Amino acid sequence: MLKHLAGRLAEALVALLLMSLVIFLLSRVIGDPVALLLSDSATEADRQMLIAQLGLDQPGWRQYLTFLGNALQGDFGQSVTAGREDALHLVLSRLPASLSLAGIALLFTLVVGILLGVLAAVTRGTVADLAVRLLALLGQSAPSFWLGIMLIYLFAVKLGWLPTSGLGGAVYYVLPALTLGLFTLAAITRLVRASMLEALGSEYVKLARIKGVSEWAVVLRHALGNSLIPVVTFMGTFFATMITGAVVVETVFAWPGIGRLAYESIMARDFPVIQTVVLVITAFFILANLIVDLLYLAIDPRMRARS
Amino acid sequence: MTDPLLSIRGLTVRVGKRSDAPSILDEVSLDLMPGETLGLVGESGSGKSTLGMSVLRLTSPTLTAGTSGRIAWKGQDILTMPNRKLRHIRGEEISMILQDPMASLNPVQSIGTQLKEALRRGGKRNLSAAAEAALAEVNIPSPAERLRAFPHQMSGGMRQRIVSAIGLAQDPELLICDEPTTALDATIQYQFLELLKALRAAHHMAMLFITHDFGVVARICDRVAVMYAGRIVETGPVAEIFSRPAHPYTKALLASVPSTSHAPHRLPVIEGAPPAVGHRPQGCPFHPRCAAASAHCRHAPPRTELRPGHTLNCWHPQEHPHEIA
Repeated sequence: MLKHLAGRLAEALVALLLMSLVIFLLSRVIGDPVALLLSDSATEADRQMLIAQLGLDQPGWRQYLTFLGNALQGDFGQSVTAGREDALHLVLSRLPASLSLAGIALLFTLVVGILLGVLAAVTRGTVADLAVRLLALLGQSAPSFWLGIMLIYLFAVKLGWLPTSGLGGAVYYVLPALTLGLFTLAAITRLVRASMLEALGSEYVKLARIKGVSEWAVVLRHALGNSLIPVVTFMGTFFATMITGAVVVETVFAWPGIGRLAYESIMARDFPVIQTVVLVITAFFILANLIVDLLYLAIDPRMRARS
Repeated sequence: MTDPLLSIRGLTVRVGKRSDAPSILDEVSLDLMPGETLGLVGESGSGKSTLGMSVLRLTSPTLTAGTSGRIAWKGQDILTMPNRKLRHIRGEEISMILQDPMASLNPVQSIGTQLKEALRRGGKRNLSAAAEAALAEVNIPSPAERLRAFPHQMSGGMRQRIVSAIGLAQDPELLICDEPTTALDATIQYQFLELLKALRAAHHMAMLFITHDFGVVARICDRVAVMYAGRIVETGPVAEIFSRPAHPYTKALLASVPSTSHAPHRLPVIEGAPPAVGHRPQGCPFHPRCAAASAHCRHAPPRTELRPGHTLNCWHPQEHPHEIA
């Protein structure tokens, strides 16, 4: 068990290292940082000085090692925008807003998605099932930027029930979390419905019914535990959907998180910040997958035996 | 004469509600006496498992909607009984062992959890002690440890014994066994049948034993009902059916059982395949494959009682004695 975890951690470190290399290469290929940093009135001498100052006259592998060494010490460089803010500090300051939004969206998605999926499976073939399936289909087909705008129009502009954008109290979370979570909510609903139907038709559920167990206990005690296994499997993917979705949703709702920071820094070609955002997201992604692994061990005894 | 424990009359199971929907079971009637073991024999698709499932109302919703007739358990009709009442019959009075031991235990629950759930319903107080005793009764070594184990850690034979322990946890009066030995190795099959016989004696149970294997019937059953295409074609005491089968289908089935006492020879086969649900012929369903068939056979065959307890539905009963090894 501990050995298994140690192995996964080692894999995670390798993944982070590879990611840092990819980011390093991409940022060198995409643009010339010197051209970005120099002012319009700079001379050739200024240019040479900046190149030497940034270490760009060094060979590529040395530049990478320097980048890696600095990154390990928490130095990801400074933002190229006016404030010259420390890149890591900037990203970390935006992180809580994103994490709280994604966390709320994921929680809401899981609870409602599992409930709807179970409801649809238990009432298979009825109007309730049809309604849930239709909702899930819509949720998976509506693009989130459009959905976000529609929600703002309806609930904020027309009805005036909720704020249009920005971060404040609990009410500010409703629309962005809904927009961010709807796709995943639909995915979880469909997944739970399908795996629940499979479990309800299984032999062990038949055996539970033979014992005389009530229908409630059959659904909750026997079928649900098994049908959550695929949900756990897809948790990593759902988390990724939340992160990529955050770029769009945070932009639409002017949410001060790393998704919008990523968007802004791409627009400003602020490479140090882009690099930091991508590395931080990668780290969270790896962490999420580690948590999924642990959840697996908790939910499925067959996995405990294998690891 | 005592009343039958289970009495099925005119049981028809269709795929859906409509009266012209294809049927899986056609007008099946049978009686089971207390303590008696009745074998239900037939090929795959003959409807024997559906019959077993219908007794506990465990068929799929489509089939439940298309079920008609009467299944009387101690005089009460299971088909029209409210769910609440049915739940008390399930497990407590009628229990069942399923065919596939690899699939019939919940993979994410420990053996103890699954067994205790049944024991608790059976009103047992000291669940841990009762669970250990239940496992010991089905010859599971070191039961205390096994209670904490999960199904994937056990062999098929062991799982099937655990399924039996769960089936017997509430001390039922009838145990339906749906091909419980089919998925087991030959040597384990024998052991398991011996265990079932011992359990039957200890619990004074009746049994409805569904199988396609006449060897199993000979070992464990008192009476046998032969099914073909959703109907019972012949029924009688095991010894009588084995020595004097009268339905052409029963004769052909028995003739195709391999024997060790005869010199090796090519086993006779029944030409063709059983008709699929929805494509069953008029009259006797076996007539297209039957050597003795005549024009009469396109009409529903009469029910004949050859000897007390030995009945068949056939226009041309085969009366000559049949040699069986």
